[in-house]
Order: sequence, then C-alpha cells, then structure tokens
Amino acid sequence: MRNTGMDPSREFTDFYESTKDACLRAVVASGTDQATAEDAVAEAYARAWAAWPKVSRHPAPAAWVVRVALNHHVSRWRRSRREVRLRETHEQTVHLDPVERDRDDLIKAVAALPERQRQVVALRIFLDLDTSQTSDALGIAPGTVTAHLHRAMTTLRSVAPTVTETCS
Amino acid sequence: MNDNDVHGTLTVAYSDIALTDTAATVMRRGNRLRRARRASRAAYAGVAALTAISLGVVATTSPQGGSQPIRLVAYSLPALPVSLDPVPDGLDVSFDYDMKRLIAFYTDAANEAAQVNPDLSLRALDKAAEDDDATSKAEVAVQGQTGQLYLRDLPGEADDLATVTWENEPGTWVALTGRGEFSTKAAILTQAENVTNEQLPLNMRLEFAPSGWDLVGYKVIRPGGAVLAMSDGDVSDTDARRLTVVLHTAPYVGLIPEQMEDPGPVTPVNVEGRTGELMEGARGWFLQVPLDGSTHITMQAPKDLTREQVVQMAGGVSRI
Repeated sequence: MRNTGMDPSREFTDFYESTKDACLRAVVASGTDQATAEDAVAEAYARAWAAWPKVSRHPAPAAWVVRVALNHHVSRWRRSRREVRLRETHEQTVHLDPVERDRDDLIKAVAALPERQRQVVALRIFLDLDTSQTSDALGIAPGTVTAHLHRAMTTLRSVAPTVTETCS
Repeated sequence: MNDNDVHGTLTVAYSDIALTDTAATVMRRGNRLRRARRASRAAYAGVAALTAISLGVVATTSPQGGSQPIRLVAYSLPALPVSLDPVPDGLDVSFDYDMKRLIAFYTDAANEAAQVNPDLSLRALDKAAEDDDATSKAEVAVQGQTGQLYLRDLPGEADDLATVTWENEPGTWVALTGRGEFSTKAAILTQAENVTNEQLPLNMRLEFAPSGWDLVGYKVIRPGGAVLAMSDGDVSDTDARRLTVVLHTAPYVGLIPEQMEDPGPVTPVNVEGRTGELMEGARGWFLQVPLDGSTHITMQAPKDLTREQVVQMAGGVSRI
C-alpha cells in the first residue's frame, strides 16, 4: 500500500474495512476455527495499526495481517475444544440443500488439506495474492507455493467435482 | 472444476464469515500495543528473571531431527515485584505478558468494557515511565519520593488517562496508570500510596521448561484460568517451536481424539499421582490432566520433547 498522504487513521480505517473479511476468511480457511480466527485477526489488525507507518508501506499489507494472525494462534487445544462444541451442535441439525451441501463438502475438503496447502489456497483465493506475494507472506519459496497450490487444486477437484455445476 | 471455479465457489462458501469488530475498536487495541511498546523500549526490567538451573539432559534424541536434544530446566514464571494493597473494591487482578513485558491489570471483571480499558495498570521499569502524549506533566510527592504525574486527554475518546511514576527502589521505577474514576490526580496518587513491595505472581505456576525457551505470551482467562505460550524463538518466527499450557477452571472431561486435528494413540499417564491422558499426534503431544475437582490443564507440545518430558512439565503446573 502506498502512502496516499491521507490522514493515517482514515487510511487505516479504509484498509481495515476493505480487507477485514477477506483476511478473516483466509485465516479460517487456513484451518483456524472461527472464534480463534476472529481474535487473531483483530489482534493482527491492532498490531498493524500500532506499526502503521511500516505496515502501510508493505507491498501486501493484508498478507502481513494474515501472517501475523496465523502466527498468533493461541492454542490448538482451545480449537479442539471448540470443535467439540461445534460437533455437538452440528449433530442436532443440519439439513443442507444440495448447493449448501456441495459448498460444505468443499469447505471440508479445504479443511482436510495439509496446513501449508490450506494457507496457500487461502492467500491465493481470499487475498488474491500472486505466487511471489504468497511466497513472501508464508516465507517459503515461490516454487513451493506453486507445488502446494497444484496439489491442493488437484485434491479439491477430485473431492468436489460437482460443485461448479451446483453453484453456477 | 478449474481454478476460477474453486475461487468463486470458495468465496461464496465463506461469504457469511465476517469480522464484526469496528475499526475504532481495533485501533484502540493497537494504541494499547503502541503504548506498551514505548514502555518496552524503556527497557522494562521489573520482571523477575527466568531461573535456569540445568537438571541434566532428559532427551537423548530429537524425534523431528532437531539439532539439539531438549533439556528441561527449573523454571519460574515472571512475577511483578510490586502489587496493589488494598485492591480497590470491585476490581480483580489479571495479567498480560507480551513482547517481554508484564503488566498487571486491576479491572472490574463484570465490566466487559473495563477489560478493554483497565481501570488500573501496574508496571515495574528500570527507568521512569514517560508519556509523550500527555497533555500535562507535573512533579508530585509519592511514597516519600518525588515522582512524575502525567495526565492525558485521549482525542476522540471518553476515557482520560493518568500515570504516576516514581523510583520505588534504587534502580527500579514503578508506573501506575489509571483510567475512568482513577484518571484524576487525586485518585491516582491515592492508589499510588497503596503500591507495596509484595511480589505479585501470575495465577499459574510452572516448575519446568525447555532450556533456552522463553515465555512469549500469558493471558488470564476469566474466571481464574490462564493460557501461557513458550517458544524457542520470537512470536513472528514461523520456524520457532512452541508449547502452550492452558489452565481451565472447568471439570476435566478427558480427551476426545477424533476431534483433534491430528489424532493419534491415547494412553493414560500418571502426573504426580493424578491420572490424565496423553495423545501422540502426528505433529505434537496433547496432554490433559485434572488439577483438582474443578480445574484441569491441557498442554500442547512439539514432539521434540519426549513423552517423559511432557509428563514432567505437566506435573510442574499448578494454580496459584
């Protein structure tokens, strides 16, 4: 993000409003439960504001937020306990229509990907990062990003081949 | 399905996931971090140091091929060298440890807003605190010393801020900050007279830790619980190893492996005479064990630690 000469608080607010949901979705899709992700992403934005002169000059500040949020995860224990509660809730419901069921399958397929593949998919899809930016955000080589993305897409296509039709 | 299909479908699938915090809320949280960093830059040194007394090598190999086997050493969590006595009515103490600085917050536990903006916060420093954003600064008498009082009106915010700082012991300064009803000169100076040299420990005790690892985070989970994180690297270091210990003020329910991210075999373990469960996941250890009838701990550790080390560490966890 370039320095626009705008009031920093206004600049940050605009950045926050335009990216917050995408960043949260990226962190959730990376494998963090939503409650933990909300806290981690809010914390990451707080850190972004605390270091705004630096973060605003970052080539992909939203990627910076996601990376900080991913590093800020609190505890897989808490996530697991949350999942228990979610499962208990889920068992009492849920009759999805076919479109929702296919989307649900895709979400589950993403959740089942290895961690790095999930992160690459999340950054590429929700933040629209290119390979180079994804590489920088995750601290891995561009070739590794490409490989992870290829494997992930292969898996997703095989797991949810009908999603395209039902969602189009 | 091509990549664009996946992109579109996933975007739709996650469309109901939205962050509800306002920008103003996040910025207030960021302002707190910024103030804390200023305090940290003042070379915060009021926290009792880690005592690292080698107990000898416990691990002989590193399952994930780490360069060095992990040794457990005697460990003490940091404590604030001062505390508030008496604590104002209605306030409970909690802690925040981040970026190597410990702050005690005295807040109204029933007031969610107060948890965001603590009524009183207490720090120990190796030099006098400063507040560059103060709207006024004055010398004051506090505990028989000459101290500095900073008063601040936060632009656009309802809560004012008062900080008093003084040299409590040679080389050790204290900073007490008040908001709300404690943001006046009279109120903050009254509370400053109640600061004692009684050490204020965190609400969880840890007797052992991997050598060279450090506390990177500690938060109180109301009511009475806590989560701590230790690491052999900085919090932003993705390659650093981490472990977490959570003190739960809830009855022990045992492990449910199928709900874990990487479930593995579960075995019962004896932790200082208490029966818990240990799961060996693909990427780490999961241990859960009761402390008493109403509390239990959970611990997540990398597989660089041995099973014996995980159990030994868990045995050294207690509630204060």
